[in-house]
Amino acid sequence: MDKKQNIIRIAIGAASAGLIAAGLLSGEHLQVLRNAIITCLSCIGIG
Amino acid sequence: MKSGGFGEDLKRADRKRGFFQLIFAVLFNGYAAGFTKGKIFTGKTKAICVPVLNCHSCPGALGACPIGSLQKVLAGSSRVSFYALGFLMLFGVVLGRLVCGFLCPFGWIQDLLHRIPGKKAELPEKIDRPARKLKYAVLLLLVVLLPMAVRDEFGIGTTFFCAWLCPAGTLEAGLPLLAANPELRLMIGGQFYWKLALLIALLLWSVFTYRPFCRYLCPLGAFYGLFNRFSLYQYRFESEKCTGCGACARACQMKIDVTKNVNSAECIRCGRCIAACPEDAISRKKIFSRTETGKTGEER
Repeated sequence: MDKKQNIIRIAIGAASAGLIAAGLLSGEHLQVLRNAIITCLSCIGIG
Repeated sequence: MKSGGFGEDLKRADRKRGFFQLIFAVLFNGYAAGFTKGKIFTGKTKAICVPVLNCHSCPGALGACPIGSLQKVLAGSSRVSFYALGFLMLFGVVLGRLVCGFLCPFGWIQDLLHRIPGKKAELPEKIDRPARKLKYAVLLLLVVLLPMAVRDEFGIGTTFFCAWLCPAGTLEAGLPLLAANPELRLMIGGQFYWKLALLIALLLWSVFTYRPFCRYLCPLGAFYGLFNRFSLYQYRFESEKCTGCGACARACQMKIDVTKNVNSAECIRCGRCIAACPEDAISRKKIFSRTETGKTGEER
């Protein structure tokens, strides 16, 4: 059971690292940065 | 078997957790000047998603909210998110809902409110159980599907969860920014009053019921809950040590039967069951342990 869990953990860990790398390569991190440095009016509740 | 008083153990566990919660709330919102200036932080650390529901429009926020970032990307032209989803999965597989119990500032605020003495109340079980599934609907509908599907004339979607539900955004971003910026106050309308009413209702509810937002509505908790069974940080229950005294069930504020499912998706890893168990039947599992039971799986 634990061996199976470790395999799942490694697979999810590798998949998430792959997704972050893909996000960095596609420039999604810059989109995240742009969104996060502009005051989000919908978060405040006025837009 | 433990020698000290169980009440003392519980208090010690709560104090220790409260200390961590304070540290992380300050760490994620460390740009103190933002609160006085009424302006949000614009440094490069905002390209990194924090593990918690911490609005990136909070004047002090140093990182990006993963749920807000995911929605914004899904609502944009690409409709696919790798980066935010990658962060969410990484935090999920390493920590699971430990994030909720130890790191989340909004969870901490609910914890503090619940410490106000007085009569506490729970929803009846036949309402509570299905209501806990609501957070999965919030995740699927408000965070993923609606931002992708509903678009304006320019092809841009709306961040439905942030706009209509997120109480952390109202508390951490809305109130401080509106207090410091008179021009923003001119834009207040029905949407803000709805979000404010929701925030007040949830904060009041927190006094009587433990973490109602985390239990019923939080999409981040729903996501991390899916990983509780697989996360590196796990609990272990040794049935042979259990005497069935029920101390863990009485200590658990999320109302989980730890003896049946120690790694329940509802468990926020507060550690109260571990502190309360007189027989040490519940423990933290060692990372990459080889066995389900026995000494190699133990940390305590």
